[in-house]
Amino acid sequence: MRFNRLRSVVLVLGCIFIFNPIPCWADNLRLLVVLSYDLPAYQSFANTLTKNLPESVQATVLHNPEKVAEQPQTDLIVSVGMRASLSAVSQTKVPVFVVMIPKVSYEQLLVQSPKQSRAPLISTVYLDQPWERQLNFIQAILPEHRRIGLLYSAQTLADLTLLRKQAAKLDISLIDKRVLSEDKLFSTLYDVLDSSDILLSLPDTTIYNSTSIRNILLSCYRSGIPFIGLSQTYVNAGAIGAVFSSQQQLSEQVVEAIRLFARNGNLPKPEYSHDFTISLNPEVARSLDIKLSSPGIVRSIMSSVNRGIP
Amino acid sequence: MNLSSKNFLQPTVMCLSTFLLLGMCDCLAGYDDIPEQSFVQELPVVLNASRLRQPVSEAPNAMTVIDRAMIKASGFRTIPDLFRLVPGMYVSNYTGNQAIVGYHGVIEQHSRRMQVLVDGRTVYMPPYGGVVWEDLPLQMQDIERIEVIRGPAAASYGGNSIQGVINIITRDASVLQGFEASATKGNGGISDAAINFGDRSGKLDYRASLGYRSDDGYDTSQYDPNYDGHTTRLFNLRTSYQPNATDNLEVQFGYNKGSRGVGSDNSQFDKAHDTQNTAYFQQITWLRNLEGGNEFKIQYSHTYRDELNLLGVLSDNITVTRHEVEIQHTLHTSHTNRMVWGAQLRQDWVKAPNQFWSELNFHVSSLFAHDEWRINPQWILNTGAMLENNGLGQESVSPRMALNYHVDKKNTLRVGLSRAYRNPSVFEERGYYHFDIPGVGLAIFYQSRGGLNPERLTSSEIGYLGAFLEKGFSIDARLYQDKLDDGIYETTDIPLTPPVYFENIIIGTHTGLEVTTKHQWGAYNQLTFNYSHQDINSNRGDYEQSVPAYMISALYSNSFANNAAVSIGYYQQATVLPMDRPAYDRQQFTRRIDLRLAKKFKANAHGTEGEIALVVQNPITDKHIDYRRRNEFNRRAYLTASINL
Repeated sequence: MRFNRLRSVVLVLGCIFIFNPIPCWADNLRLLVVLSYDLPAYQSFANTLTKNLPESVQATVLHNPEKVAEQPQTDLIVSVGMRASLSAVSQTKVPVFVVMIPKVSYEQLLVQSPKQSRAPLISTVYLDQPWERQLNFIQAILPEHRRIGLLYSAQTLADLTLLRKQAAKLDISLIDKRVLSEDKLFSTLYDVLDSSDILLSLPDTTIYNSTSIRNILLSCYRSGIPFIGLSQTYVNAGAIGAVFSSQQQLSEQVVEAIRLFARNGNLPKPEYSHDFTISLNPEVARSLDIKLSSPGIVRSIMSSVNRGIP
Repeated sequence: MNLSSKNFLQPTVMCLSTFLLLGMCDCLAGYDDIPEQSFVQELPVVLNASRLRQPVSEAPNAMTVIDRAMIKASGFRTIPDLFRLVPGMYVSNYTGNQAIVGYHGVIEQHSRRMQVLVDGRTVYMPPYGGVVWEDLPLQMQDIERIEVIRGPAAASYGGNSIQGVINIITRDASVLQGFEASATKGNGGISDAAINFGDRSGKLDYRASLGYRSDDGYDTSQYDPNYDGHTTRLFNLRTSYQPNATDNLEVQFGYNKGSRGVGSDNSQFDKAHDTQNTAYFQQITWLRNLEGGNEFKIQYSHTYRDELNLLGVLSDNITVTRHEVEIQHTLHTSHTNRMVWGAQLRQDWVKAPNQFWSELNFHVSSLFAHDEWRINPQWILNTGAMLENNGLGQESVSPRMALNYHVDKKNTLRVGLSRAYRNPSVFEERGYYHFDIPGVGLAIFYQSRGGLNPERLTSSEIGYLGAFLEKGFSIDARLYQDKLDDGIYETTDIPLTPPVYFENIIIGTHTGLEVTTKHQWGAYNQLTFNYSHQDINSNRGDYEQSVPAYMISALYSNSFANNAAVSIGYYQQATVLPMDRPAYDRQQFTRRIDLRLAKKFKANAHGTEGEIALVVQNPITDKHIDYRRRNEFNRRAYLTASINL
């Protein structure tokens, strides 16, 4: 009997713990969207996000992350970009959902911010794409291009060890060369292009920036080597294609996380964006005499690979 | 017709550049440590419609592309020689310093039916409507690639392109960061040197080229000592400025000066002597990338060419200037339709006191549109037309259509129909070539009568393209029929007695076949093979004989693992008698082999590279005759040493 009573107490306490340890905000969640900079890329994300939010969420957009601690009562922060995330994590104790930073940077964020100062709850949807998706994409559009060229440096924001493993699984060769200094960029690029079928860009602004992209793209084009970008901008610039998550797709996942948080006070685990965009540049492909399938077909090839369909 | 009117376009250009330099911004500059920057940064549109070459399988015409690798492997020293690698193209020399590049007949000193562009600037010049190749401020090292459109393309390139278009694209301003130098020495007085250097910052890039080129021309023959050597000094500069992600401003400049050996001591009046030639150009191009891959381009160029030709008390000088403005708008009207339209205005001014009654100043204007409709993934329809007024009283509309059918990923068929007009050149329409010779009196060689009709070429073709990449093989074949009406050629009232004048007197039907195959095997073996066959059926026998019945060219190259490379060129052509030559100048069957051996070496650990190359032209066969019997082509051997820092 005593045991049964104890069990009831545990059950009741358990229920209280599960359902009511922290308040739920089904009706009135106070959300603070903190932008790293007051620049168009961040503003447009904030706009996309706020448009997608349910009416029950009261959203405030803060354009200056330095003032995050001065904000009145906030239940959840969505920090857009690294600067905003660092501020939110270090200056508040509010749960933070991080967006618009790649996986490696998110991990750095966790390391950089000491545990005692970190928000009790933190999670993210990564800005970059999982290697599996990236490689599937390349295989879907260019199945005969098996030698992937890569340029990296100490500043590259990507886990290359993981990429090498993933490529080995798919029997893809990686021709990766480290760019030792800025003035070695193009000699290293030519070395890579000499033995590659394709050049895959990585998040690294010391290599790929508005100054260097012109010569990189022209060199690739002259060598007849297609270039895979990181975003729509790369495709506009002259990449043959890119797989990326749009602001709308990221926003939708953030909204899901907010809904979950509003329901039970939890955030989902950090993960890659579920949805992604395939962007192709048919004119560049045609000029390189490469026959590209439509984005829809590429997507279905990618999903059939994921389902194990040969 | 006065000199000051040459400057009519310059204020426009000044205004344009001022406008372009205002109001540029770079929103994310200075935010380098942001991990998300890679994903949110603005990037300039680099591979825009102007830069992208149309794949051969989608082009409305047959097209041959000569790239840098082919240029190097060929071992050629001069640009006109490269066109030996184009099926159906005849390359020769009127003298050792006056190259002739002709396609599909009427082989004569001035190939007037080809459009030649360097970075979009027309370089065929009045008064004859041909290209003075040696006067182009351009070196082999400056060329990125050459696209040769085989067949009429007047609908896109204007009235000089009724037989084809040579499109020379120079290396981008950003291509070079460092220094390249080469020196060449060989027999026949061959002595060349080139220095290329450049730098890039991404926003402002430049590339410069300094060159010296000279040789003795043809060797002395039994008919003439052949005083036809030349010395050329040239410089060119290409700069590119990207103020933001959407705009690109390019400024180019080129200068060429040199002496050209002309005349002969066998001649009574035209003794062996040098002309002093000067040519230069300035070009400014503004390109704006618009939404959706569309773009707008405006280009202005000014070209000047002067030939100082003094013959004792006589002179035969020519000074030509050209101002050219072109606007071009490329737009995607839907996912499957793209069009380019534009207009061109050109002002040519010619002063050649011995060739015209007076200075001539005339305006050529044209309006063009071209549409590419991808009906579905298999079918592409290209249609276009150009309206052109040559400023000398002639106006014409040149339409064209081509339908490409991708049978599958490897095979493509093309059917093309076009009508192209070539308006008469200023010399044909207004020429008055005369000398007032002391003690002899007035000698009139040419006296045009004007009122010529434009030449009309009606062309039809069937093309086949096969690309079998897994087998390392591709083929480009074309069957064509070109019907020339109102062909302009010279005639006299009394046979062989000047003055000569021009009339619409040629009617001819060209029927032919052109084939290019490319083979690749092993890691480094490449072979390009070209064959062309042509028949002309004409009202004039001399016209019928003016093209070789067939021509073959082949280029094999192999680069070995130890940085050594070998290439062999083979050029063969059937007998031909140029239309403006007497029977004794008949060029018999010719065959020539060129050989190039090269070895690269690393000069040091910092990436400095060098190369030594030996080229031997015509190493096996005996001499052969180029164009005129006095032009004996003998063996040439030269060694080139180059270094890249």
